[in-house]
Amino acid sequence: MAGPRGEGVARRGAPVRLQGLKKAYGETVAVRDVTLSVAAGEFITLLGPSGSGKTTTLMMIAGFVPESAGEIYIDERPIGRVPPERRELGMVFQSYALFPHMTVAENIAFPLRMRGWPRGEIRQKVAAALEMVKLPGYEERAPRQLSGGQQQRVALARAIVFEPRVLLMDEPLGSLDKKLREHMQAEIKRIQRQLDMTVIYVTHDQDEALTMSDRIAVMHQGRIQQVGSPTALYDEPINAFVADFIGESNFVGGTVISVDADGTAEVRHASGRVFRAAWHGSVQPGMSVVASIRPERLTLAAQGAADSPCNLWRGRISEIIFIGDATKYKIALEDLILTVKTQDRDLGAGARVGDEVGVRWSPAHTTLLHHAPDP
Amino acid sequence: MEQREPELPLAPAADGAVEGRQASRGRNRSSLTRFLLLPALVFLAIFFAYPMIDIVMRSFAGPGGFTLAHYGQVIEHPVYLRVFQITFEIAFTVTLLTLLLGYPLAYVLAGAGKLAAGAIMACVLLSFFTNILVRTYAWMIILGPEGVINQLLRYEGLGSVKLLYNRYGVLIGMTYALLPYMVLTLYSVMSGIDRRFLQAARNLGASDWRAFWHVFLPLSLPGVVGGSLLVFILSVGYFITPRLLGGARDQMIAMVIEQHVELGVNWGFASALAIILLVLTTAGFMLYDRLVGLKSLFESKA
Amino acid sequence: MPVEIGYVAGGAWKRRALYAAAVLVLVFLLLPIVIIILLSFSSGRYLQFPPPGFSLQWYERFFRDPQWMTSLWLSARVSAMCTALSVVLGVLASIVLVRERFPGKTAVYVLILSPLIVPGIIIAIAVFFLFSRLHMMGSPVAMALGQAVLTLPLVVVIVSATLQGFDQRLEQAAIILGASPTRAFFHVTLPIISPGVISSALFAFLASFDELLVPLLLADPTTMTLPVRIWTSVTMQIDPTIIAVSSVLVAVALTVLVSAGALRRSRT
Repeated sequence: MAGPRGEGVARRGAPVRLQGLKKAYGETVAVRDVTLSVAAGEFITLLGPSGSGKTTTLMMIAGFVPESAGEIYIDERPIGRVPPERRELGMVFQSYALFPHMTVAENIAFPLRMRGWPRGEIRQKVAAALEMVKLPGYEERAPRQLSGGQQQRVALARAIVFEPRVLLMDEPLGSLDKKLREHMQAEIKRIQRQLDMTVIYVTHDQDEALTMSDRIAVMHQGRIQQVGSPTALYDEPINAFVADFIGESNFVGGTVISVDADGTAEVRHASGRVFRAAWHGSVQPGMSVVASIRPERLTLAAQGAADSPCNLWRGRISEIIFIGDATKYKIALEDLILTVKTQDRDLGAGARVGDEVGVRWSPAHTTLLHHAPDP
Repeated sequence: MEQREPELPLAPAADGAVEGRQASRGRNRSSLTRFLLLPALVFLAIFFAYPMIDIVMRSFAGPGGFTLAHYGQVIEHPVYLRVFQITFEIAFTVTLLTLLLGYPLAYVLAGAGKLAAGAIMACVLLSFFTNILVRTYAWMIILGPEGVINQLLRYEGLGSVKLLYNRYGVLIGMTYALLPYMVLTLYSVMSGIDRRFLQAARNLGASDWRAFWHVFLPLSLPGVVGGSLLVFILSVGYFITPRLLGGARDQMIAMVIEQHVELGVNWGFASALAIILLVLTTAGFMLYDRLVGLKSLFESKA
Repeated sequence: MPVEIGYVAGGAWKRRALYAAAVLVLVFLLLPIVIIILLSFSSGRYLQFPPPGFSLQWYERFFRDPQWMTSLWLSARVSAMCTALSVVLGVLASIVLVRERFPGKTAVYVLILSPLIVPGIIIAIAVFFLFSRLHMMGSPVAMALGQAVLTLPLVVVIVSATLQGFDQRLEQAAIILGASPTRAFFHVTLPIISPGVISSALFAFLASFDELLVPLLLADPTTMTLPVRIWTSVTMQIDPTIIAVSSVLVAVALTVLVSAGALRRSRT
């Protein structure tokens, strides 16, 4: 099972498939019916708030939590009966879990020793792994002598040194500061591409998920809410939870009045205002729906100029928030507040709280969400 | 007997709904792990539980089968009732004395700086962990008719005092032996009292004495109750110190039990006495558990 | 303004009285041990106080006396057996008690820890009845087994506390990296909890080495452990050699305490 040891042997990551995975602890259900296919060499992120079941799912893949139902396939082989030590998975733990009584080299050599590799080869491999994570010469240090970022690199080196085809990562960057985190994100991506591993990554940080992943599975209450590429999730969230969890969004509810052939639907808000939104699938007149509009898709329209395909509502500025690279305007309409985010500082140069302004957005950037009861 | 279980991490950021200590590969591995408990259980069953049951059986066994005669003997003979009376008298006095001596020491210990506290603690622990036989023997050397105290008194021409082989000897020796238990129990409570309470009381106009009386003392009461109960229970079952330092009139329960076993005369009666002692002790510790919690007792032992 | 030490508040004389009381109690705690050590080096022919001069005569007597040496050696053997047995059983049991949930767990805890609560004399006669049935009177193995009843709970208490503080992710990491659970235990868990295990062994050894009642009832004239010989010697006639034996026992206790303290520091 150890795989080819030679250098440069092309070996792609293994596909992983979760089929109807379930985990219950007595009455409480942590994971309900998770089905997910991960392609070989794909970087997929399980994203969700704490309690969403993402870590439990990862622990089931690792083999530390027995599934209550369902099956896990790695390389199309079911691994339900394979103990964790024989699943050949690399794993980076939340707080690194570096063995405190071993040096850096001993830590990285550990998986190779367990696989009975000869000493000389182990030494070479350890050096190569340290090279890979850009910590050459750190062999004899103790883990506690290293900074957080360095510990993170050692944990990564230890997880990849035996060239696993699948790498599991449980909030690996959680305890690093923002700058270092961004740097490590790039490093992890680089190594993943270089080794062509399948990576299953768990995080609650949507920015991290958006920058790193090929695809993201958003989890909530033990279920996968939506799987898709970062742009797909951002632009076409399937429900309010996803829309809200991945970035900020304006939600406007209403009733569908008409569905037009040009791919837009006319929706009437409770206040009587009407707007147009792009629609996919089964939208019918009379349905109540929620539309999601990203704040950066809204623009302030100083005066009337309504070019027909755009929605244009009028309201008053209730708040202006400067957030560095952008400015946010809260626009109060009678019974709803829209958030507008713009990087164009000139646009609102003269705007003051209390001013009446127009808010404009394109139907193409208005996603109709399935009106799921989910919050 | 080799399987061991990894546990699910329960770090705060981990999924909150995740709970429990589950086996890596289902129940198989988990149930295998439980076998690790087996050696200890078998050992205790043979060398502890069975012999204890044996004592119970012996206490009810007579020549003609079941009998209550051994227990009857305890009540019938005033000698044995007297033994219980002496035992409780001594235990009560020792408890009071350890509290009297232990409270000020624990109070100073809890308020002392790091260095002083370390030194005091070292003294208490050294005494605590020194062989009880050695500590008792030391008191024989100090209190005996030719002992340190009498040698000094005679040297000063002050005559001599009888402190060994009587109640004084027993009380001094047992108070000495059990004092560390009292100090450690009191300290574990007192060290948890926020000293700002006292400052607040002073700030609110209480004199130092009243601040102590109305604030510190009530807060330290769990330690007083726990320590006293612990010392009392241990005193009731004490053997070595009263046997070596006491006289004929200081016979305690454990000594009577030992005598009957040693002489081989009446194991049934010894067993009955042992069961009574066990019931008293268990009742004491159940009360302790109610008032203070047994958990704290085992933690402080570690 | 006098500096207030801790919360020992109040006027100067009150504070002084309090400190005086504490110092007196400390003297009371240390006095017997100090006197034992002082007198053990005395050159007097009996236990004179103050000692007339310095000599090692009592130590010489102790270490030259074949009977005392037999007892010392027996005590060492019995305690070693007892320590080994209680550490192995105790570590295994602690693993289950800390990590597993199962019905009847509380009952198991009570069973394992109850020897700490049951009066020593009762455990001693219980063990005595058992081994007199088994015709093992005077057997060092019997003594070790009987003492292990008392030391097993000590080991469980100390090792459980250590295991509680052990981050299980380290063991999971070892397993996912390819170690079997057994290898993970020996390569990762055991080295990390070893300070706790060693200090539990130290305390078990000390408790066993000091135990009087169990071997007292089990001993025959040829197998007297050190405490049993001290006991016999003290109750029959006072042989000043005991004073040297006592100092040796104080030294043993001190060694255990200092090593346990060093272990604790090494952990943090």
